[in-house]
Amino acid sequence: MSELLTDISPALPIILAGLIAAVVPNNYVRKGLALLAPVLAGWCWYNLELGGTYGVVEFGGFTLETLRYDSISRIWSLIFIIAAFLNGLYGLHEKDRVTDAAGLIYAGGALGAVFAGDLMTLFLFWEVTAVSSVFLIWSARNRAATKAGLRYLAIHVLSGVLLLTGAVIHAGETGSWAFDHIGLDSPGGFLIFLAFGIKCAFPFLHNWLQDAYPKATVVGTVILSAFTTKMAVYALARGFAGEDSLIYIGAIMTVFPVFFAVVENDLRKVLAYSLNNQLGFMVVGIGIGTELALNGAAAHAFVHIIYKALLFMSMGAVLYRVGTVKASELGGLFKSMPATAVLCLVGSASISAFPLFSGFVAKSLILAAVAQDGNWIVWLVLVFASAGVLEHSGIKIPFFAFFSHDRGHRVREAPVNMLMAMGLAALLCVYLGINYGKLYDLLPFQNALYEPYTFDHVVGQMQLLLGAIFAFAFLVRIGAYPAEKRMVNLDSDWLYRRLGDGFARWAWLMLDRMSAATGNAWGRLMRGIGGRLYQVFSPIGALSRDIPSGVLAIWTSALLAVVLIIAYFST
Amino acid sequence: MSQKPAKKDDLVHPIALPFLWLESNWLQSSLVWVLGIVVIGLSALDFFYPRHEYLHFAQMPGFYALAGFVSFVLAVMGGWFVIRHFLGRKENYWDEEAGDE
Repeated sequence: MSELLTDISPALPIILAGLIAAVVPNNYVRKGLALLAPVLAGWCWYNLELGGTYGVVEFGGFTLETLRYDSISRIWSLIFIIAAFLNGLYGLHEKDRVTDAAGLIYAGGALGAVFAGDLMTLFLFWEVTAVSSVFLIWSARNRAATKAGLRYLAIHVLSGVLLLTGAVIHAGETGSWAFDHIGLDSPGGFLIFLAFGIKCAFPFLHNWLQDAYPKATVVGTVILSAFTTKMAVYALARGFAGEDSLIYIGAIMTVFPVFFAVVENDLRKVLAYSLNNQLGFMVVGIGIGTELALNGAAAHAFVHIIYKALLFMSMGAVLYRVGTVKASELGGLFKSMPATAVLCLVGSASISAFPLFSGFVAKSLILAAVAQDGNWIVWLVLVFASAGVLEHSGIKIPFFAFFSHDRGHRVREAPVNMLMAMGLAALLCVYLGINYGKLYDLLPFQNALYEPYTFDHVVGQMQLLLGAIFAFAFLVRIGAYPAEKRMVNLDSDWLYRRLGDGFARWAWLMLDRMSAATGNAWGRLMRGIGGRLYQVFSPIGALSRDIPSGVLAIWTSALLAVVLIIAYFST
Repeated sequence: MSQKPAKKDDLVHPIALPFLWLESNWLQSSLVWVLGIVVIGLSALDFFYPRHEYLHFAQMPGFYALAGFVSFVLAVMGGWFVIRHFLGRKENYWDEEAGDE
C-alpha cells in the first residue's frame, strides 16, 4: 500500500474528494470523503522522500513540477493536511454540498501550491484556491455574503493576474519558470511580490480578509482561516526571504490590526484582524531571512493555523448556538457552553504565547531573530504587538463571549463533532507547547538551534503577559475600558466600497451626460446639414423646382461665353 | 398539571455550576490587587536573578511588565480614541450588509 502511494501528491486525494463531493448528493458519503481524504493525503505525505521533485507533467509547452518535497514544503504541507482534517471534523454536522466540495478543493489547491516547483504550477493552484474559496463565502446565502464574495473574488483574481504577468516577465528575464528565490530586482519580481502581498494581506491590501471571512458560514470561516494567507506566507518565504522591505511591512501588519480589533464588535472580525496581526510576525521573520527567523516564520505558521482555527471554531460554535457573535450581545456563555469556553481559553493562551502553549515556542523564534539582528525598533514594535494580541485574542474574545455581563443566553453546548475538532486542536496547542522538539524537528533549518524554556524567557514573557492583564483589570476597574457598541469601523475597504464606488458612479453619470451632450451637438449638426441638403435636393428643394427653359438657355449661353473667352485668351 | 417554569440558573450547564463564583463581585474587585502583587513579584525577580537579553535595555528590571502594561493601555486608548472616534460609524453604514450572516 505504501509503495502504491509513493510519489503521489497529497493534494491529489483531497482535490479528487472535493470533485466527487460536488456531485454526490448523499451527505454521509461527502462527510466520509471530508475525513478520509486528509487521512489519505497524510499517508501520501508520510511516504514522500525529502529532497525530491515528483509529478513532472508536460502540458502546453510547459514543464509543470507538481510535487517538490523539500524542508520548506514539508512543514507547510503537513499543517495544511492537519487543518483539512480538523475542518472536515468540525463540519460534520452541516449538510451543505457546496461547502463540502469547496472546502476540499480549496485545501487541495493550497497543498498543490505549496508543492509547486515552478511559477506556472503555482499560478494554476493559486487560482484554484481563489475560485474554490469564494464558494465558502457565498454558502452563507445572503446578500452581504454575496457582495463580499464578489469583492473577494475580484481581489484574488487580480492577485492571480499579477502573479501570471510577473511570472511571464520574470521567465522572460531569467529564462526559467522555476519557483525559487525571486527577489525585487526586476519588474516581474515586483509584480509577483504584489500578488503574494495581496493574499498575505499586506497593509492597504488587507481588507478583503476582514470583509469576507466574517461573512462566510460557520464552517466556511474556519476553513478560510487556514489556507490562503499561510499559502502566501509560504510563497514569500520561498521567493523573497531576506527582503528588507518585508521587515517593515510585517511590523506594520502586527500593529495596525491591534487598534481595530480593540473596538470591533463582531468577534469573528476581531479574529480576522488578529489573523492579520499574526501574519505580520511571520512576514517580519521572512524579511529578517536568517535561518532562525525563517524557522520562526515556519513554526509560527504551523501553530498559528491550529490555534487560530480553534478560536474561529469556538466563535463559530457560539454563532451556531446563539445566532450572533456581536460582543455587545454576548456574555456569560460559560454557563451554557463550558467546554467551548475552556477550549477557547486554550486557543487564547496559545495565541497569547503563554508558556506551555504552542505560541510560546514559535513566536519567540522570531523575536529572538529580530533581537539578534539588532533591529531594536522592530523588536519593540513586536513586543507592543504581543501585548496587543493578548488584548484582542487572549482577553477580548473569551471575556466578552463567555464571561463579562451575563446576557441571559441559555443555549445548548456545541455539537459533539465541533467539540471533538476543538478538543483535537486544543490538544495540539498544548502538546506542541510542551513537546516542542516535535515541532522543531519539522523546521526547515536544523542547524538554527533555539531553547524556548529558559528562565529569562519564561520570566520575561510572564512579566509581559501579566503586566498586560493587570492593565486590563486596572482599566476595567477605573471604567476606562471601552464598552462594546453596535457599530462598524471604516478600514481601507472604504477606498473601494465608498470612494471608488462613488467615483465610478460619478464617472458613469458624467459619461452619460457627456454622451447625451455629444448626441445633442451631433444631432444639431446633422439636422443642419440634413436641412440644407433637403432644401437643395428634396422634392421641394431648389433643384427640384421647375425652371423656365428660357432662363436655362440664357445661363447655358453665358456659360458657353465664359468658356470661349477662356479658350481664346489661353491660346 | 402545569409545570413550574425553569429559573434562568436552572438552565446552567452542570459542568459550569462549580464555577459560578467567577461572576462574584469580590473576585472582580480583588483581581486587580492580586494581579498587581503578582506583577510586582515577577518584576522583583529581576533584581535577584538578572535576565540576559540580546538587547541591553530589555535587561532593566521589570522591563517586560512595564512594556506589557504600557502597550496594553496604548492599544486600548489608540483603538478607543483614534479608530472609534474617527472611523467608527453606525452599524447600518454599509446599508443592508449589517448582521451576522
